[in-house]
Amino acid sequence: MVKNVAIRALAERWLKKRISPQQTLTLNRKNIFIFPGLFGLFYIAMTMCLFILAINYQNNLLLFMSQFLASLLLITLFTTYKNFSGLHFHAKAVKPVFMGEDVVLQIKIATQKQHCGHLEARWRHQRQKHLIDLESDDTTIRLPVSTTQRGEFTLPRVTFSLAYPLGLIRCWTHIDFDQNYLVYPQKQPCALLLSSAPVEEGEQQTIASGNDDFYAIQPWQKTDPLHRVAWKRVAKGGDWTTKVFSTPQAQTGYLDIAEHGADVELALKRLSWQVDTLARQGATYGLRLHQLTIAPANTDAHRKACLRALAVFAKSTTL
Amino acid sequence: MMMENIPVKGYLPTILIALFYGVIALSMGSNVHFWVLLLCGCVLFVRLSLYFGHNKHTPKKRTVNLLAVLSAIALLTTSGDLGLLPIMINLLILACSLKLMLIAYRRDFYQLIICATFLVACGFILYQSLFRSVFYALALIFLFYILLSAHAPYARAKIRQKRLAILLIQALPVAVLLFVFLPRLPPLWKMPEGKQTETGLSETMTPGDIAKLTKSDKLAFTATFDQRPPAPQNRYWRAFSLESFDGKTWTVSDTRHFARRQLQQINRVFTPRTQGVAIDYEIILEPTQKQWLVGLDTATPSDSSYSQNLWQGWDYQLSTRKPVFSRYAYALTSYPNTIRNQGIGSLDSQVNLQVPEQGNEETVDWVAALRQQHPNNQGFAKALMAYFKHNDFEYTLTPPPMTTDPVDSFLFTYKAGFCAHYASAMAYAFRLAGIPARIVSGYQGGTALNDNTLSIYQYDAHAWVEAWIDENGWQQFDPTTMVAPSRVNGGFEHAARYSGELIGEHPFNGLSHQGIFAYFSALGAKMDYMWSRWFLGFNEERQTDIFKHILGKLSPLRIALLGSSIILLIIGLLTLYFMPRRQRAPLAEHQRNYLTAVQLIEKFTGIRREDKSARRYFATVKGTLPDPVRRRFLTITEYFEHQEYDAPDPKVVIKTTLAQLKTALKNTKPILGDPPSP
Amino acid sequence: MRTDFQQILATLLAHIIGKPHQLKLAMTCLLAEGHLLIEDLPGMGKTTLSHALARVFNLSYSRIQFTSDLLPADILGVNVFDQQKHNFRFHSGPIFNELILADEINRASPKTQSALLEAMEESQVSLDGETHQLPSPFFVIATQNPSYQSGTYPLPESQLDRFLMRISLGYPSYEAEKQMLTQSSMKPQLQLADTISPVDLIDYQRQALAVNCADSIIHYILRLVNKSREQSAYPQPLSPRASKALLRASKAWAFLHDRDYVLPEDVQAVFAAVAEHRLKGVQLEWGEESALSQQLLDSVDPLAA
Repeated sequence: MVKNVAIRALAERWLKKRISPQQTLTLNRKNIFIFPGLFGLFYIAMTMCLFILAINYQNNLLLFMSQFLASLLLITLFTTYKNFSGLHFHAKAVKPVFMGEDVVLQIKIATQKQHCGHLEARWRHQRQKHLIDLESDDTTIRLPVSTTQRGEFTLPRVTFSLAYPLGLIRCWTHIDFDQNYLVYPQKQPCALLLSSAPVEEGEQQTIASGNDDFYAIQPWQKTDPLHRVAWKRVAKGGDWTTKVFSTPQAQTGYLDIAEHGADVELALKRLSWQVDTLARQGATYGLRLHQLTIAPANTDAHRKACLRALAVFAKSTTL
Repeated sequence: MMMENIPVKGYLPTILIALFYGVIALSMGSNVHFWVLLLCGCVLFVRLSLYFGHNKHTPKKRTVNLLAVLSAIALLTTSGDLGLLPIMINLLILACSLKLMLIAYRRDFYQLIICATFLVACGFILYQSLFRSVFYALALIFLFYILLSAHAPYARAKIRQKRLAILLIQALPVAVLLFVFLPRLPPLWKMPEGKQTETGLSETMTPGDIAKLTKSDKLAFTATFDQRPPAPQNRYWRAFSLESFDGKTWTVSDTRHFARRQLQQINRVFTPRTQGVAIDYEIILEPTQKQWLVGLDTATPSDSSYSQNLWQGWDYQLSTRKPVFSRYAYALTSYPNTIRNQGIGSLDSQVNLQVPEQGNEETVDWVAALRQQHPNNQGFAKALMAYFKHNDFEYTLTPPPMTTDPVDSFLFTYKAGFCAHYASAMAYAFRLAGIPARIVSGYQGGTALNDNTLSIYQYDAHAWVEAWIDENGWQQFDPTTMVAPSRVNGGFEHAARYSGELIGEHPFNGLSHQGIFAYFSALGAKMDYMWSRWFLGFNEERQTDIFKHILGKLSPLRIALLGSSIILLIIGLLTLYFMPRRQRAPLAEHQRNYLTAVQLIEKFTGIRREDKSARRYFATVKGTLPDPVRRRFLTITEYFEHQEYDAPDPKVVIKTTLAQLKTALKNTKPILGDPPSP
Repeated sequence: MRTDFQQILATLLAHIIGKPHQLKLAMTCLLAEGHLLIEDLPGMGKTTLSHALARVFNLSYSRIQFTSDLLPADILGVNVFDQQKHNFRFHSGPIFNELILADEINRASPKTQSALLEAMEESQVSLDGETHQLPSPFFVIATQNPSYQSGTYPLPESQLDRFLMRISLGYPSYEAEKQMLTQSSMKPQLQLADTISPVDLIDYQRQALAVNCADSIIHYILRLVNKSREQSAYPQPLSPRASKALLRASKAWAFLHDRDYVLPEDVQAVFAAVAEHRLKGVQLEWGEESALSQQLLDSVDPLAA
């Protein structure tokens, strides 16, 4: 077991030097490995057998057959190489996901006129294979990774291999797409808990007035201002109803980890859900994680930053 | 990569492989047991129904295992008399058929392909005619097509065919080069023999036991003459001599065998003193599994290069060092007028005067009487021949069996038989008279294939006598000519047709001699002959011939040169196939001119263009250029800009300015080092 | 450069001193029938520029100050009920002018922003089922204040794409500011001969569109655009709308410089203005050089065969 790990580590180091991590890669002789597959080795053994048979039987037909088989092997060696070289891989940036969902690495393969056959893709030390037909219009491979914990991780290498045309020679490569992926804590539904912000920079809680993002209708109550009544409805002979406008600048508050209990993981999960929900509502919110404070905002970038903070919080392995 | 798990329904390569096995098994004819063929057919049927989806599941593994056990038992019990090769073939077909029922993974598929290739190879071992060879070659191509389809399943059939064709055409020249120029190696060890040939010359001859002589119309050998072939009555082809007689059976003498082996080991070769006219010819012998070779008396190897393999025995017989397992071509020069009075005197007389102690009393008495009448050897011989002529002897392929005192029965009772009877009686008579005599087994006659070539078939097999008469050495006597001259003059076939006794192997044999069939069968025979001569007969000697032809002398240096040039040729072919072609579209003229100018300026100033546009590059370098150069380069830059981005004007030619730029550059001392700061 | 445009440039320079490149870009934008986005701190001369442009091209001009409580109706107009005639009459909003200055567009709510942007896109206003055509030529000069202030709604990436160009005036040079201070406080008079009529402008626009563009320029543009799509260094790749914008702007620039064919230099000159805001995707920081577009330009060879 230990030996296995040590060998793997050694192999990884050598690979890192040979095929450096990059997001796009075109295959050339520096990053292609080529060798006969198992079928190819049997084929070679068979050809040698036939050759010996031909000599012993003094049979010209067998002799020519064995020589033809050998030439065919030679030709397929170059054909397979040429069929593999020149493939251009471009990995799209990986989207972060919540724990439990699968991270999907999308790899677009650009082919040239000579590429054909089935390309096989899999994660380097796993068995499940994905086949893609290089001649079809859609040459995108989607490789999933299951997520078991939150944090920031590096994607393992992807192994691509090809054995076209006759399956005798195998060409393969291990590509590191230089992608880190982020797994946010799993969402745990709970109540929204925003603590009020200390007054800073003269910011005040703005009272919703005149800001008109029409949000809902509710039955009119005596205390509702008249200018909020839905007069069109009244004119048509309906009930008096009040228009309610959302106040995008509702309470700005902070989501604070300190207020979510001693269980850190559970707290993170709850915060994760809250961030997601608040962001969906378009609310402005901030995040406080002990030392780390993120000022309130309501943009998507802000949401991502908050979720990222939650994901990597107190993780010893920072990348 | 091919898919890991092979689908059951609708997967074309599986059904194609099943078809392949069925066809191949069928083509092997009598080498494959009937029930194996049946099993193959069943498997094909099963796979077809799976392919079309009538059944959903492959047969259970247990069923197949049971079938396997049963088949193994059946094979063991029914294959007693088969040779090793047919047993292997049956086993292979059986195993693969069973595997075909269970095919599920990629590796199963690959295993089947390998076994299928072996089967095709077996086909090449068993059959060597042109037709068969083409058939098995096509089968091999079909196999590759199946393999290709498995790896590119979604391509259209036409595209797959095209790709396969490209691969095969690329491989073919390399293979041909290897075939012609790779040195031939001698066999490493003795191979198991194939099915015993029922046809062909036997090394024992017991005339009395054969009630019906079946004659095969299989080809025995072809002979191609430099000049016109000899007349039919001179076409006696010696194969080997039968010198031991026990009263009933003639066999090859053990003493002779022993002596031959000894002489071969010490490498003593017999070179007969030849005289008279020489006839040059080449023989292509069908496989005999034996070591004797046919030739006209007195045959010598044409070329010293043949002396490696051919060995001439003291009994004027040619043999090879290795048994003839596949068609063998060799060239001979025969001197028919040679007097064959050499040989090992003591050995020859000892062996060829041996008569059995008892039996055939009548013959003994009769010979004694005849000998008294003709004490002269020549006279005695003539009398013997006359006896056959004038005593109502008959030539028949179906004589009555003569088991006791067969010579007596033949000479005095039945007086009917075929060549073996006559030869046996005559040789025996000679021996009784004290004249060394033996039977020569071989062929007589031959049908003309074209003006220079004869085809000799198994039904031309013949036996005649040679006796050592005084100083003239071995003389040939054929008693059959006394009885059935047409046999000798017109060939056996002619005689047989005359007597209505030709039995051939093919049901349509009679048909093949009529009209259009005759034409096609003759054509087929001719093509087969060319095939044998030029491809199958391409052996070590021929290869050496070609080398000599190309190189002149065969020195190690020249051979090494030839070897390296062949390797270079192969590398050249590979480069031709696989060198990346220039994908760029050819540059337009103005672009070329501009780029040439840029290169000149780059070399001059040391400032590379990198990613700058034309104008910017000019602005960058203009400070460092001397006046005449700058003016010219400006013109070229403007010209390029105009042609590239504005309307291209074909009339404007920039070559003169380019030339002027070159001269201006030459006349200026080059600026080396850092360019001046802008 | 064309003589008439040279005069215009001189006139404009008199108003906004020391920024010839930005002024040329603004003129190019007009010639290419595109809308302009100016991002600057307050007081740089955005309003002056728009006003000057309107005067120099003789375009009817209106300025809309975007505030947080601005309603779409304030921009587009409103149907007013006429008591006497008993029907609704359309009162056009300030958008119905040939040159609009949408000042501080990032202070209005997204709803108001989209009202303007949709009208820009469709060249018409639909209100209560009736459509009213916007005038032709029609330009919008929108301004954004780049400093982060809460309570703003910066234009999202999808809307930024609608502006052909984005320029930033920036602080004037020492000399320019000195000149500005020392010159007379009177606004310089504009001679009629220094202006171009809208009809002429439309004709110039047509001519600009007809400038010859060789295949190699198209390839160059495509290479630039594709490079942004392939590499991860560019988070917001350039869309097909961007390539069309680039082509139009390059042609207009070539036309401005009195050429009837496009050079790679033209593409390079307008590239930062056309592409940077699309590449960055978010509001650019104040004073930020056009790093991304420069990086992209440097990595593509205009002459690659």
